[in-house]
Amino acid sequence: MTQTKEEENRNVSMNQEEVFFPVDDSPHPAAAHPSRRLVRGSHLSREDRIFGWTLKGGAIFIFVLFLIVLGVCVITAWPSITKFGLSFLWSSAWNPGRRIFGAFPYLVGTLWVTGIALVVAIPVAILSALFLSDYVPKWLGGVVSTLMEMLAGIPSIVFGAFGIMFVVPLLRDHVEPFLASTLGTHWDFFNGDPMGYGILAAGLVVAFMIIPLVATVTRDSLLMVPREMVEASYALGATQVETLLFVKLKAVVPGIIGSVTLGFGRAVGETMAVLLLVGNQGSIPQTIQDVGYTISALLANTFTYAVIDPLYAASEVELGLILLLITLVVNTLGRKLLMRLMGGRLAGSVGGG
Amino acid sequence: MERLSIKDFSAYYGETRALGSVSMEIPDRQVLALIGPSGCGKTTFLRSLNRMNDFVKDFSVEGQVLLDGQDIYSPEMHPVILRRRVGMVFQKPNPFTKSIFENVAYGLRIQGIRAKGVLRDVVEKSLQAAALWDEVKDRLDDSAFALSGGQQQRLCIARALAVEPEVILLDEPASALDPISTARIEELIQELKTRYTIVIVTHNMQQAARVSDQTVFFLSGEMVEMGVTSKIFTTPSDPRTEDYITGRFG
Amino acid sequence: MESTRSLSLFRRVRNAIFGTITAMAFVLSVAPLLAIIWVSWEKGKSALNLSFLTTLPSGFPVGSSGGILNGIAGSLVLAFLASVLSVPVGVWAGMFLWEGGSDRLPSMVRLFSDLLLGVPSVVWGVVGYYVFSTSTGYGLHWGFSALAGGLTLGFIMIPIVTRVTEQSLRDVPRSFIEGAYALGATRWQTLRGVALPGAMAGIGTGVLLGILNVLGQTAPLVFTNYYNTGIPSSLVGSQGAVGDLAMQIFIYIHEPSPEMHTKAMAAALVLLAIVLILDLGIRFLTWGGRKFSARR
Repeated sequence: MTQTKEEENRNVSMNQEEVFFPVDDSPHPAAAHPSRRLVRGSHLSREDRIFGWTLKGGAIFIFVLFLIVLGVCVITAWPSITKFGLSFLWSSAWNPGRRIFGAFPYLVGTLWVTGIALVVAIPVAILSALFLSDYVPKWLGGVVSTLMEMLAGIPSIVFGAFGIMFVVPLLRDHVEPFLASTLGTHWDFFNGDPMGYGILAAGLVVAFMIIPLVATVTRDSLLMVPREMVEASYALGATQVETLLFVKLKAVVPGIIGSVTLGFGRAVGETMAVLLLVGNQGSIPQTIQDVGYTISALLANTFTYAVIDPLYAASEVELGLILLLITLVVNTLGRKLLMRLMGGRLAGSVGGG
Repeated sequence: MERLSIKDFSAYYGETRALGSVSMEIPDRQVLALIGPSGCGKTTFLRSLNRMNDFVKDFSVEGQVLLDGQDIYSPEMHPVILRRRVGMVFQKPNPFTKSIFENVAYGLRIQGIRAKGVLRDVVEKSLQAAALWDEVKDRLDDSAFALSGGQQQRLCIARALAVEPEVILLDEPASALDPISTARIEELIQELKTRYTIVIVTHNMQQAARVSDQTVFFLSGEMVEMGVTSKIFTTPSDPRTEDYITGRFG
Repeated sequence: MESTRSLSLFRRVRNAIFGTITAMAFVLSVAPLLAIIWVSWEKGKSALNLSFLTTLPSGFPVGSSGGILNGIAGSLVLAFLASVLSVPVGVWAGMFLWEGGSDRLPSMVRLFSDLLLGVPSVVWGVVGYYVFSTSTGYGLHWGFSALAGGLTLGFIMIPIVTRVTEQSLRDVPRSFIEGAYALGATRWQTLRGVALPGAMAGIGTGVLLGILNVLGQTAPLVFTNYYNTGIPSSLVGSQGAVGDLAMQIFIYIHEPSPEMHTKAMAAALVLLAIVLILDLGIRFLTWGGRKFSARR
């Protein structure tokens, strides 16, 4: 039997999870054996063929949308990319009047806010995940998980408003003076002016926002640890904490790295809360009390003025492109790690608005 | 007179041979039982008879399966049409989340039959043939899930009968049912064979002995022996068949 | 019990301490939820009454009197426009992914769809601006308008709906699908008659979750719609911008006046109520649905 074009186009394989026999990876095993006929999919009727092609339209839309996102960013950033080259990344000059643009302060500000958020979020989130997967009493389980997921649903702008009304005064009047008078006496890094607004406020609020994401994904991967493995540990006389620390956590290291990676991807693009809290000054933070500026906050704040000058706009879009590339790389990595661990069932995360 | 005729048929998942060189003639209006230990290829064989394996990635076949003399794997044979001629009932009852009536009528609706009168007639006839009519005639619009497991399985049989197939494939149809429901299904098979050719896969040796006219024994993807059921269960010619039916392995 | 057989005191205490630490971490991580609700209530309740929901903002600065009707109405318009684009496209792509299984093309589409999920909202804003709003170069030249904002939010929703559709279709029991094929149904008939009806509840839930997500989006609107204190007269062009609850909070909280902050927190309370109540409602529905479908 010869392979027809049609046969190559058959792509019904809905049974992939139910293949009872080891499946060879070679694309067309039947091709090597002329007497065998590869039978895949009922793709023969005209109706089904049209149907198959029609469905492809949905796929094309996703491709096109992805190309639009990447294309718009690359094309509109092009003047800046060609003019400033790689020095765009480490130049600190940002002067729309003189048409000189450098990304460095915004990259640093973004990394500071993201870094503070992760330092705060990771331990809290992982411990919470352990609580949710192992320690929470059964009758409470549904409620606490729901609380966690509801937190994930709160809009970014509400976090920002909350930050202004609550977190900023708290930091200004209590936390930052305290840091300056204790740690600040040894390290200048903690000895700044208490302003409330700044990278600490922004980082802290972003931490609140990514904790639910990191915690739920970590919890899901903890719940995926095979029961046999856990029971084997208990059967050897290990306590709960010993099982957790020595067996379960070890088994889900890729899951934890994956969830932190996703958390990073979300934190780095966080916009409205950061815009309201970070202080919006394109300087390099010297102390943890300092103000700064992130890429996303800069774009949301100034992009609509920037479009008057093509080079100004191009520089801002190039910043956006850098942000996009970071999130694409980070999300691909995180997705890979988690897919291997839990196949398909990965909680989606959307860049915060 | 042969309804199905299998000639040197092999089936592969990728490079793995699941079924090797099966040849047999399946006579019209009889019950053929397929027995053998788990993983022996009997379900693969059954699902090859109405091309349900087409959905498995890298599944390929060799040889021929002739339905009334026509090769079912030939390009001229459309699998959708084939499945209307060779019906199937699964291990677990799988009614759709529709009413009892709509479950039975589904096979007709997808063929474009809309006439109310025709649908009603066929649904009644099929439910009667599946010995379910008296139990459900007053609640045809109820959800199929309101029925018991045994009733659901008979509903699935009625659903398969409604498209007027020539052959009915039963994949361990009673394995999920209680003994009383099982007995009813077995009675039903006896009635149905006056009009249909039936191929049944079963793990239950007594069931095979009770309902079938002929029996095939599979082992490790090979067809070991085929013969009249009474002979297979009393004086099998192959020692492996004897070992299996006397319970020495499997 | 002999001492060698019982757990050492150290191990028991360590176990208990560790359990307490995880519980405290959990309390710490959900504390912001309660704090946000509490702070919004405390700071915003004095502005909250029925006319706040049913009148347009007025006074100077605009918003110091009047309510947030423009924001509520505008958010609904934007969510509607976003759904009009994303639901058909997302369900379409989701059906493709379900059909295609693990073949190469579907796997790539799945990857791209997942990557779109992670695109930062400012980047969506930039893309939306150049596709819909810009007045120069290519693009649709719709200005800052409801249609531009709504469709940009629709872009954000597409991968969400795609993923949920695929997952809901996969959750339809395999036996239903095989049952339909065994009766001689074509692929299209099986999808339309068995798989889609079975997945409908899940898809509906996913669409609502997507709407919840875009209701909270502010950044993309800064680039494509901005804000309107009144009710727009068209969907595109210079008169086409709508108000939006999230933008309204953003603008009010930026004003250096305590009255505006009170209004902002009251608006935040309304947005929170919409989001959390809808969220709980959806959860309740899916929970009920799961209980029902367990009978399968």
